[in-house]
Amino acid sequence: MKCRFVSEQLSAYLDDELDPNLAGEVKEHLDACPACTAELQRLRELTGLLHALPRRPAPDGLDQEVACRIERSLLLATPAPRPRRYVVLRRVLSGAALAAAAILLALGVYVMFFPVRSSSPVPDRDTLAFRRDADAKRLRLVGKETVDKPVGDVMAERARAENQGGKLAFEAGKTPPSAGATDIGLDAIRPSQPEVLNLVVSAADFDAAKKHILAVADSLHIRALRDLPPQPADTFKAKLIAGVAVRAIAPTASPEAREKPGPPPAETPSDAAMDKDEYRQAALTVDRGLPVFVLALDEQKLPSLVTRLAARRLDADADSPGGSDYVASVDVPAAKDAEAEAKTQSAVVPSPSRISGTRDLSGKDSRGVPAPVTPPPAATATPAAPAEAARTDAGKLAGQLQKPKEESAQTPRLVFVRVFLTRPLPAADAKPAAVPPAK
Amino acid sequence: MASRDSQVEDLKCVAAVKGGRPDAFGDVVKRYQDRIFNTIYRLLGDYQEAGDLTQQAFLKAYLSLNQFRGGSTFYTWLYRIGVNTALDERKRRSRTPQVLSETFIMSPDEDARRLDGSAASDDPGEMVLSRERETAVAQAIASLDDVHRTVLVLRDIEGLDYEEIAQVAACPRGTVKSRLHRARLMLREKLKGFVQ
Repeated sequence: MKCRFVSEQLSAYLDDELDPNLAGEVKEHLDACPACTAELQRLRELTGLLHALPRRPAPDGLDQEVACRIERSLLLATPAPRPRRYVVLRRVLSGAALAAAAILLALGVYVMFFPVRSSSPVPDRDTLAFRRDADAKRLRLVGKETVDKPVGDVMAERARAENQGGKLAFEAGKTPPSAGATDIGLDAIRPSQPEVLNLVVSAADFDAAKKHILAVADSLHIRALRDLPPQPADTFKAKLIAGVAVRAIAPTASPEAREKPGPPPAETPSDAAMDKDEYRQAALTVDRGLPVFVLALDEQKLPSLVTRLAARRLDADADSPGGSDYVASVDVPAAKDAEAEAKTQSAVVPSPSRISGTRDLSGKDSRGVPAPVTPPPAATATPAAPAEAARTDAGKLAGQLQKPKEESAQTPRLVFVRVFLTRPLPAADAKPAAVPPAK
Repeated sequence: MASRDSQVEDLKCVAAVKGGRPDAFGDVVKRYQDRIFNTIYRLLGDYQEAGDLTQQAFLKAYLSLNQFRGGSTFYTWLYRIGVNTALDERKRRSRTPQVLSETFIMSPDEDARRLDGSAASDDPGEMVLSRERETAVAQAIASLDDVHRTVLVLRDIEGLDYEEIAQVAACPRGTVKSRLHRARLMLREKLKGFVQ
């Protein structure tokens, strides 16, 4: 074996990467050749120098930065920008023309989508989610009394309530409000105007609720900005939470100030103010120290999300008698064909105790009559087998809810869902409350 | 390099992320951030930039996780993204005249090390010599061309075997062998003063 050939094999020999036969031959040569042995020694010294270089650990917080980048990238990448013509319209139309257009639009929506009454009221719910969206034909607020009105009416009522006391007025145990679904001023860093919905979750066990919400979000591939920290920095998360907090703790702000568009104030609310927010006039409060989740999802996933959250009730019944009480409702844009009624009815997600084996998607039981009202979960012990059946039905329901969306073949829009945790209303305190005190 | 257990863990994390648990990617980041960072640092020779590029590499990995089919081990796939990220940055810099490709910007603690009593040796002469040696080695690595520097860093600093380097560098094992030998010879030439 010649020295030149051996020399070329020395690196691999040093690294123990030669096949055994060749390594044996090289070793034989090295034993007899001082020059090649010296060459091997020099390579060994060189690799020793390289191995001696200190390893530099990643800077502190790099994993957090990566998480932020991923979140931001995903949030910014999903939605397609809305057509520019809306922006142009907004700029062109004067205030008066805009108001006139809004009235005409509301009237048109009302005429085109005349209310289709639900087959049955849903009186055992005390939480809700609703959307504020020009595309939604109707708002369905589900509480002790079901409100089912055209968008225009509901928004007008909301506006009046806001003007009265700076907060929405709702009777205790009736319907918790959204926090206003305000635009949270992220225009600078997002390409479109994602819709912001509020989901109020009434739960006795916040830890269990938190885990469940995140599990549901994860299972649906929904991105969750979880465990939002109080106010760490001027980050995307901070702006999101600030959009919630500023709205919630500033009930006395003037209507002009509230209506003023743009980003939320830069200053963060004081810790004391953040501690507990009298979220509404009724007995419920939203504790600012508790987690607030912001879920970012395609609009198409909204029905699934609400359905899955509602399914929590079954588990709560099985595990803890006074367990969580997830009830939510979301409105699906009404269809214009003969299936409109069925779709509208199925748009209201029945509470899991109502998603029983005898209930079909139209909200009626197998006899064709409205499903009976089921007592609250605390009073019902749901057996395991019906629970499974109900889960299956919930899955079917979710599929049904998503169908109209798939058929519409529209580009999915990004929707932010802010999840608030509230304490369930004690039965004794569930007295109707008056309008909030005027400031 | 990675144990079978850690490879299984990697695949579990990947499956979890693909299955709708994006938080599982955090485990991947924590497990590999030091190695990817050190690789990029040694390839690029710029401590400040290495942190940002490491973040970019993980972001790319997350966004293209669906393209990981399991044809190679996960960490070599990750290394490949990290290496490509660093080399892309090198190319970008080479097109910028004012940035010299052979500069080497040490980490702050590395730069100040051995002057604050934290050195392994108490001999001031040995401390100075050791520091000079490390600086020279780092600069010599930074002066190699991309292909040779890549195999050298992956083998002699990161400890990958030839098969793994072949996966990262997307070249045959024989090419890795010849490139590595060539890289060591070039480096030895540049470090004559430190190698007999």
